[in-house]
Amino acid sequence: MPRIPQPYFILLFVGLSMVTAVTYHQWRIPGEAHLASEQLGLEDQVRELMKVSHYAGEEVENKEVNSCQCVITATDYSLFSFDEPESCSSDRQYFSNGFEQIPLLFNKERASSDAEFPRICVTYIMKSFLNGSEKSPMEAFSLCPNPAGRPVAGAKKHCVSERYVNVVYNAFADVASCMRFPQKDYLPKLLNESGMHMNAWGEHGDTGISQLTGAVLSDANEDFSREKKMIMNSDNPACQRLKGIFSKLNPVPNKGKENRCLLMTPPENPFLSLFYMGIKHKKDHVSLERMLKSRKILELFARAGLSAEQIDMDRYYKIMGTLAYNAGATAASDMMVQYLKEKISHNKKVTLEDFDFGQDMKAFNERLKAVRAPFQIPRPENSQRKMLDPKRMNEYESAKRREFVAKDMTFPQFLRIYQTSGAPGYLSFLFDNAKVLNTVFKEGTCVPESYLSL
Amino acid sequence: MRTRIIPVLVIGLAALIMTPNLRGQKGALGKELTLRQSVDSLIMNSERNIKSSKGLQSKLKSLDKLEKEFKKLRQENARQHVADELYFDNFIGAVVMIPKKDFAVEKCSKYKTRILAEYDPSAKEGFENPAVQKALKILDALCE
Repeated sequence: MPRIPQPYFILLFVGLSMVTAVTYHQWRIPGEAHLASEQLGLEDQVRELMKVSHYAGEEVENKEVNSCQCVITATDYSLFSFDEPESCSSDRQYFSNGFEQIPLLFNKERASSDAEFPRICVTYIMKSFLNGSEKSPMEAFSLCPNPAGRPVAGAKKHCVSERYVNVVYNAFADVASCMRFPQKDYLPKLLNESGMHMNAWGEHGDTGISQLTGAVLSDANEDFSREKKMIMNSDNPACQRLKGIFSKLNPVPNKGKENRCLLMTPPENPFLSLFYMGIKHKKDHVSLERMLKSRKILELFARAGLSAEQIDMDRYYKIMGTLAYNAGATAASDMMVQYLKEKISHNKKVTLEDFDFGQDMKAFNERLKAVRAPFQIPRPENSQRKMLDPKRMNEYESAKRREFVAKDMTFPQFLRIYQTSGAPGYLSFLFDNAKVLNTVFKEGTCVPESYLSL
Repeated sequence: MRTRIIPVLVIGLAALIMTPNLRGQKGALGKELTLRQSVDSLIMNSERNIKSSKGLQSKLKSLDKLEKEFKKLRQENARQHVADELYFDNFIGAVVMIPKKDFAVEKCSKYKTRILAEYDPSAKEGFENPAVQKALKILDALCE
């Protein structure tokens, strides 16, 4: 075989590579990912998505595409499209009569909204929550034969019709705007807890969209009248839109589970449930401010290496407010205080990265799993699942103390081990939910860009 | 035979002598547990005292005594393991929320929900904050 001179060999190699690339570029295998240059532009993706989810296949104008802000990377359109009421069985339309009594202002899509995120975030959250409960009933949803009575666990997911999404989306945006709670910060939490469904139900009585418990409801009742009056007298346009509905809202007495349907059924809901969420948010914020001063938390930060100028207080309150929702505001502050004191007492410095809940917890969680394993027993109600042996809790605590040294931990790790109120590591779970939303949608669409970072 | 037994006896004796010393002095874990146990014992005794006290003022005096003794215990001891420090903070923080001046038995359920809202809003059976549960027992004793 004749030997090809080196310059010609290089030219031949380059030429063959180009031919191969062009051939592959032209050849598209159905169902497989396109080459980058063939991908739909972002604007086209939004248009495609809006066609499916909002406009029942009709063409979408550029103006609407631009206002959507939503760019989706996922391809399962079913999670973004509304259920057609005609295709939903009657046992998935139990709120229909209640929706009829909600003003059209909330039932319809609005030309402009106080929402800080696109409506499709809500559609996705509602549809992806307990996927499969459209076909068979689940305990996490309940029915209310008596609108003021005790919820009966076990229901199919309500038909995620455009009207249902509109009601939840518009109510959420208006209550949040009127009561000034951060909208996007709540979405990962609601994705985790209720999927923004009005009849979400926990076995311990966590109720409705906001999933609040009896103690929180009773406590919020103390401020109910005052907060309601503030809304009724407010000039804020969102408050104005809520006036008619709020004039009819009354506090829900804490009678355990006996009257929790009051926080689930329309037309009072989702407004009442969201109103309680707003009251809790305000109360928590007041407590966090009080604790910041009384426990001198900024001084502790400074002693641990972060000056007040380095701390974004808005972000601080958002992290602590999210923790407070699950653990209580004062308990959340106690945890921060002890975390900082532990660092100070061992002469360790903290950095902003120590408060970033986006850090990878996989290896840490594996270590914790290994420590837990010897102390776990099968659950009495379900032997497939495990729980910590109540008789060996002290042993487990000692093992944890030996394995995990607090002075070397980041704040998310510290909470995973030492959070004693609420669910240990709750904020890290929420961050995982935020990651889901940020993967499905363009980052920042449904979740704030600085979510759970200081 | 005798030469083999002697070292065993010496080591055994040394272990017996050393164990209480280690528990009471240098062992960090031991000392922490000791203070936590002292605090728990104080809480238990106070709960009993409050329950047995007659009249609200007398009960409130016992509560005041508990708070003072608790603070003294913490002041007299060095920083403990962070889990214990959190436990102490949560307990005393919840107890301090009980109003002393205008305490009214008929408002007990409000005091309880206020404490839970600040310290354990999502408490579920079997997963409660133990320090908060102890503070609520003190409240229950006052409300009896």
